[in-house]
Amino acid sequence: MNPVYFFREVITNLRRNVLMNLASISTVTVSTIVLGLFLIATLNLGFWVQKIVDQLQIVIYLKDDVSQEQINRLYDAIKANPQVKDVEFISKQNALKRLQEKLKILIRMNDMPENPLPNSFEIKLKNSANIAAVAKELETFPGAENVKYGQNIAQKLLSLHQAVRIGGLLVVALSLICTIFIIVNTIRLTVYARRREIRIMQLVGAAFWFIRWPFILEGIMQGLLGALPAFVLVYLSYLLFVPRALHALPFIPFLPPSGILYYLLWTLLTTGIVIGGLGAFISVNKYLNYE
Amino acid sequence: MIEFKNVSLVYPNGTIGLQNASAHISKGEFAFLVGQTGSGKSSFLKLINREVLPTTGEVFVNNQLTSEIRLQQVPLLRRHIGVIFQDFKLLMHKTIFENVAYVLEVTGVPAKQIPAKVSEALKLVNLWDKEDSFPEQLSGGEQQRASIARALVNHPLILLADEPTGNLDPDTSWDIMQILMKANSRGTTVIVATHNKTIVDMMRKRVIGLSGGRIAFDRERSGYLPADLEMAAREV
Ligand SMILES: Nc1ncnc2c1ncn2[C@@H]1O[C@H](COP(=O)(O)OP(=O)(O)O)[C@@H](O)[C@H]1O
Ligand SMILES: [Mg+2]
Repeated sequence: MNPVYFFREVITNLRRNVLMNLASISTVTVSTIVLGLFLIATLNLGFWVQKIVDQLQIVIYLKDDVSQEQINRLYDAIKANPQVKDVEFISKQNALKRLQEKLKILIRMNDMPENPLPNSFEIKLKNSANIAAVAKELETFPGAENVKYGQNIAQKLLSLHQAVRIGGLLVVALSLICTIFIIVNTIRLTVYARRREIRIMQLVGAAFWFIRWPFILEGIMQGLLGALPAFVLVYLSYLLFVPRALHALPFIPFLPPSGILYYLLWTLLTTGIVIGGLGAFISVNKYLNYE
Repeated sequence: MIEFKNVSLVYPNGTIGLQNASAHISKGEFAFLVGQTGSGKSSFLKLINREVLPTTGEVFVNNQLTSEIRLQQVPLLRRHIGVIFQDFKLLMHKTIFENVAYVLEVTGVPAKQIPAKVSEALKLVNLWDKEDSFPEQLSGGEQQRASIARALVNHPLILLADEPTGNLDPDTSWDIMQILMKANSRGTTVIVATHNKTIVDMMRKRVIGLSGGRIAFDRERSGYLPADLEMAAREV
């Protein structure tokens, strides 16, 4: 087997059937662009929900009679919990300061008999899905007055998170299936146009693999040449889109372009290449005579 | 070299291609296959090339029973057989040069040796000036000659020619016969299917007459013998 022969064969065929090849390459481009857009939308949606979920935290309000030593011990115990990512101690004074900043007014101490806010711990978990269980555990700590984690909203957010993940996977899988279908069909047409040649090659003594390889390589080329511009187009558009979107909608987080680069490149190119080659293989086999 | 033993060929749609045909063609022989359109000439050749398998009976080519050749081995058989197809069967996306070269490429002939061999074959059929043309840019006769060059380029043991003069004027037809004779004189077994009475009568070679899929006569140094064919047709 001579790889040089096959490559020359493929290049010549691409050049000679420019129109046919352009048609199938651009079909691959269009369908992988759609796939890429769905992928980006899904990744971003997942990113938003993740961002919100990441803001979930458990707050432990402490009784006022808890000593500094107990607070230290409690801090260490929380920190030692393997589920905990981050813990921060908020003293009464800091809590008041935060409140003042938030309300943008100065609460004068003199107006109040004493600071009514309690000491507290703010805890972020490695995986917010476990938030209910961990909160329950923390309730048993001595000195804990009250444990809050936004019970209702947390549950809803977490199931939304799950739904987005599964939904996103489904959407991407579905558009992948459509893309595969379109690419295989396109490649099948280009092979179909040459079915007579396949029969002739068999009649003049070409072995099965000798006939198949140029077609498979051609399919791979069509997939690659179709998916590459799709990737460039989608990525460039996203590159231009993100700064504008962040400017116009500052409260919505967008994945930085570098965060989608590999997903996009990988998904589009492998789809083009694998499906192009596979589609060609299936199609050639259909027109090879196995009798 | 080639042996048919009680061979019948029935196509999937029920048409009879060949009926109880027996014949032996030795190495280095030159034989004509004559008969009207539909008499089974092409079917006879397709059985040798293993394009089709006999429905009953046995076909031996080069001492191999064609129905026992494994699918992967079929290309190897075909590399020993050059075929000039009735409809040329040229690869439309390849130039004349590439069409001829393809037969060498499938057998793994080193790339360096290919141009010389192809040129030689194209010169033989007087088509070397058209090597960069595509088949559709050539006349029927030129396409026919290209298919002859392809059939001869790797010096096959057997040459099957299906109406090789079908589209040609008498002079060119005669040139083609000279080329086939030349191949034969080098030891190639040649079988020519034709209904060109003039040529068959002039060549005085072995003639196998087919009528309705049956072998009507099989004679050495013979002519076309239309009367014998007609008689055989009436007997059926
Ligand atoms: N692929 C086929 N399918 C069905 N019938 C066929 C096929 N090829 C040939 N035939 C029939 O078989 C008979 C012999 O045909 P063929 O061998 O082509 O004759 P010839 O070459 O002498 O004209 C004819 O009746 C023809 O119609
Ligand atoms: Mg015929």
